[in-house]
Amino acid sequence: MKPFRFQILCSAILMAVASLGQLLLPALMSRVVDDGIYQQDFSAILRCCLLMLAISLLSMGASAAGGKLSSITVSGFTASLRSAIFRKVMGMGHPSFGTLDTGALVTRSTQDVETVSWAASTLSSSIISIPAMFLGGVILSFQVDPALASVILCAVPLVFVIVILIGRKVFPLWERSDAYIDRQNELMRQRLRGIRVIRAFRREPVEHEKIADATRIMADNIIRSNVAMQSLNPIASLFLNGAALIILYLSAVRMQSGVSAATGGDVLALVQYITFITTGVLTASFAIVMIPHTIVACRRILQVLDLPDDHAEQGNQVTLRGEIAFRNVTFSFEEGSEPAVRDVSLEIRPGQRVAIIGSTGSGKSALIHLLLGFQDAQQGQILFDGRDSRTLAASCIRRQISCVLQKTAIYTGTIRENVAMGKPNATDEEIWRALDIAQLLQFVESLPDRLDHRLELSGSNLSGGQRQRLAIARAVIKDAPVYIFDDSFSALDFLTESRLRARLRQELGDRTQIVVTQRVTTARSADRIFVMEQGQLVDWGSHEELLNRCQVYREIYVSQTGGDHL
Amino acid sequence: MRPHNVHPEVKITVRESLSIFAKLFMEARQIWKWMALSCLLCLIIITCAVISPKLMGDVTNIIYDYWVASTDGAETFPLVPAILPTLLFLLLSYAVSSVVRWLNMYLMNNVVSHHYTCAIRIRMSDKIRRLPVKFVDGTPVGQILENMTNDVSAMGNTIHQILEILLQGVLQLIFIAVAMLLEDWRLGLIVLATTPLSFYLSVKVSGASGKYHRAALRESAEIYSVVEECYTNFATTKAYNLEQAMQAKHAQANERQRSAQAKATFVSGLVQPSVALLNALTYIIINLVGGYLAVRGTLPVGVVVTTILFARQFSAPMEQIANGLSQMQRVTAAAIRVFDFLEQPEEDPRQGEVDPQQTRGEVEFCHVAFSYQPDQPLIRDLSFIARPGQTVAIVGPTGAGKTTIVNLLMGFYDITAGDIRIDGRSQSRIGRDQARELFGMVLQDTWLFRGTVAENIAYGRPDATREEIVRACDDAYCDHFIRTLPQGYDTVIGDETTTLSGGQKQLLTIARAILADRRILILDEATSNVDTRTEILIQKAMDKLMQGRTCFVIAHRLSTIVNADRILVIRGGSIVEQGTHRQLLEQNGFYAQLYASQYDRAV
Repeated sequence: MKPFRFQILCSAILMAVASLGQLLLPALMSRVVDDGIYQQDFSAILRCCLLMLAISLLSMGASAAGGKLSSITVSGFTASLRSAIFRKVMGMGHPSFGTLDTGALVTRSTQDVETVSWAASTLSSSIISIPAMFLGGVILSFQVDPALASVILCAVPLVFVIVILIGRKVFPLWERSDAYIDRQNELMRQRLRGIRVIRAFRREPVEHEKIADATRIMADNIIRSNVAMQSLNPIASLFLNGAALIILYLSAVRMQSGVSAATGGDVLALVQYITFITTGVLTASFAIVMIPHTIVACRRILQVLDLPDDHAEQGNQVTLRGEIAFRNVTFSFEEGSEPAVRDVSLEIRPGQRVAIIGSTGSGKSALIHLLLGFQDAQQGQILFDGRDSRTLAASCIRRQISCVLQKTAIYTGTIRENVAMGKPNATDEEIWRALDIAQLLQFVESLPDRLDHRLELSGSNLSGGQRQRLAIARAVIKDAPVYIFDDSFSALDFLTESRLRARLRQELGDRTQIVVTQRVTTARSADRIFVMEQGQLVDWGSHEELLNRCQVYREIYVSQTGGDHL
Repeated sequence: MRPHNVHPEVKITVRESLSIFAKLFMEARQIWKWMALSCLLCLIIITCAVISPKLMGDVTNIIYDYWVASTDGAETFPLVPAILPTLLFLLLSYAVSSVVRWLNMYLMNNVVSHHYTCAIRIRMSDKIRRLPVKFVDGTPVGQILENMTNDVSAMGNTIHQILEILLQGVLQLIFIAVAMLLEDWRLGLIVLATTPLSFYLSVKVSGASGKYHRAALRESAEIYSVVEECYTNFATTKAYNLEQAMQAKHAQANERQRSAQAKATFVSGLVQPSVALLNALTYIIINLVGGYLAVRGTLPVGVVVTTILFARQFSAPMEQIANGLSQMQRVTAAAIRVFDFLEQPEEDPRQGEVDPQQTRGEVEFCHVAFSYQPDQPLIRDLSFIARPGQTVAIVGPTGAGKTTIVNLLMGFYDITAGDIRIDGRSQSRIGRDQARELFGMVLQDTWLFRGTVAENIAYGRPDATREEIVRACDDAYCDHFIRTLPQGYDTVIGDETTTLSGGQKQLLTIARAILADRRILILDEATSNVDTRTEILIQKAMDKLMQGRTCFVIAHRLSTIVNADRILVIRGGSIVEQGTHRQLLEQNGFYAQLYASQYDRAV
């Protein structure tokens, strides 16, 4: 907010000038009545009208300039808030990133910022001009007759009280309707996803009823909150019109008894102040009702901004040969919970091809996360070329490990851009070669735009296998001593996979390769296979050795190939 | 038919808008009595709006006259009794107006909004029951949800606006114009001449801002996709040290959005001051002319006040209309999407009774052809018979279209040529729902809904007793782990439940299929995300389930394939080979190659 302080101040002043300008018109009108009409002096009327014109133009100018300034300020503020959150998230480590789910983070970086921005722009115009008008109105009317002015002074806060009361009533209704919108969406999502099972079991009517019920409750709450919100206008205008009547009555009484010095024109002006303030208050009330909502959004944004950073650049930068060792590593995702990796020690020599096999939840992927420095082990050491990973910069380790992670990542953009992420200044020739190794050459050649083919969000215009192979091409083009393939062949058919693995063996011959998999057929050709179960390293060795002595490995093998063919 | 998703930027023709409004009004016929009542209420509101300024003018006139008289020292009259009746009458008019406005608002919300939002949403949900699976598969879930929530509420709001504009706005304009001219035709003409000018100005300005608003929205969407993509791919972004590059990408979109947003807010922010200026001009001219006339003694001061109050009431509906028009485009687009959804072609339910108890379970494909897109045939000429109790294995690389056969069998998609016969009877002569009741399914993509374990298992037979459920679970080897759950069979689970592993969910779906007890089975064997021990249980459970039933298995397990009565080999979406394991090996074709690459060293 700080860099915008000056701009905010300026636009506030301009806005205040603009609203005071509007307020001066009725005051001048009372002069028209008193000095002009009553005195039968047309030139006085003309003077007043010219003055009115000047004030209106000034007010319009101030309001336009204030609007310009506040639009620049608000959009600048929004943009810098948005980029601050994004920068923050990009600078987080996995432990911070994992505290909120991805969807929630996306909401905070986009929608919540919009909410705050909307509130900022609405409030910036009304929060300044309404009090200005109110104060101006009260001061001007005090000069006329303090008794009459006190009516305005009472009526307006009363309307604010009504606004707050309604806001209180509306808020829980909103919360409930939000909850049921979520419920309706969840049911709908569930139903669309399970449409085959639902139809197979003829349960469409039941599913429909569930959604209809949620929709009814939701609509009921929305309607009740709308009724409450929209009640404001008739109620508030009744109050303020009533106040105008009281002013007329009081002024009549005081005039008759000769207490008041108010002129006929003054009474007219007072009645008009009330109308001006009424309109202003009603517009502002909608902004005020939104304040709690905005506070929630702010709090959610601050929660993100307060998360700790990752310090990827801290530590030594060295060149690695590709030797990796785990020494009694124990790691759990949350403090005190069941360890995902328990006392694992293993060694991988430079140029070795190893496989890590195990079922879901056995801790394979946790090993990879530890290697890449996404998470820190609670106990034990991870060594690269004999150096403790904690002395090395995470960015340095990541620069020298090329990996394809379990969740295939495709970015919007061209095929060229996606592959070149592995090597920013790669030539087309290098890209084609990487695609060739990844068994994607034929596919890309068949595309009309070839390397310039555009990929949609998350690569939704590619099949699962094509996405995996594109990610492999990205990893292959990156020159590194260590390559990791975390479950990266699962969407490939067996023929493609065996061709791909042959090419990898040929191209990455002298580099360390780590393949994480659930499939025995993928693991079996590795130099060494590590078998993981429930976070522990059960055994390691070649396929034949393990088949002979490792119970867990044999079970996996049997379950995948059918026991009768052992 | 236009594509289902109408992009908000697409220009909507006048004819389309008219047809949408026609539809919206057709929708209103069920609630026409309430609409008529609302019209009546509007008339009362307008009458009050016309009377109040007139009365107010009278009061000020009396006060002014009194003031003039008392200042001139002329003979005065008692002021308070003179204005009191008018003041009371004015109070009554304000009160009536507020009460009636509240009533009308209440009516609009409870009848009109309810009808257009809640009822239409329920109709959309009902529509899904009859939509072909093909439509659901081809439409992103997010889009349907968007239609059901945002588009419907946008549409509900139009109805409000249209009614307000047409009934209240336009009528009020006419009434006030007439009242104003009757009050004093000279001042009235001034207002009539200047107010449309401010109306025109605000329409123009908000039209100009629309361009920037659309640009800002487009850039917001762009930012959203950058953010979502970077967060989803967080690990890869980190692993490739792409943080800086992503920030640059975000910053660019952010800057474009900022500049478009600043322009949009500024331009649309101009509407209010420029309208205010024009209103001020009207005000000044009334003062000038009114003052001149009053000085010459041809016009009472009260008339000037009345005209000023009228002028204010005259500009309000104008602004309302301008506001409504600027949103009309967006809202019409929303209504088009909603009606498009409601008018989607429906699935033909098909007619014909069938008795599940009497079905033997023979399935025959006769020269079946199928394609998702007319120019890309997927299945050309497929024929085979599965005799009652036989097992047919469907084999092939991932993404080859194995699930297509399941879709055709279940009637989720319609074949383009040939016939599928069940017990010799054509699929087209059996009611779709009835035909589906012959099949049990266990899919790899386990689907559980939010509810208790028992409810999930009894999904296919809601009337099953607890004993039957437990027995089915026992057969599916899941009774044991269900009992270890916090509330046993009454534990609430859902798709996102993390207390159950993938394999355990799979066992639950097998129990569901066992309990449903259908003659014909469709199985998609689980391959991944299952730990070894559970995998063995799943196989045993599936073997038990398959006994004595006709089975179609998308097979990954060698033993299923080798023991199948018939193997269909699918590649690139079509069936390349079929036969028994032995026959196919002898053919030495694609199957033999596939078999070798996966299993040669295993045998």
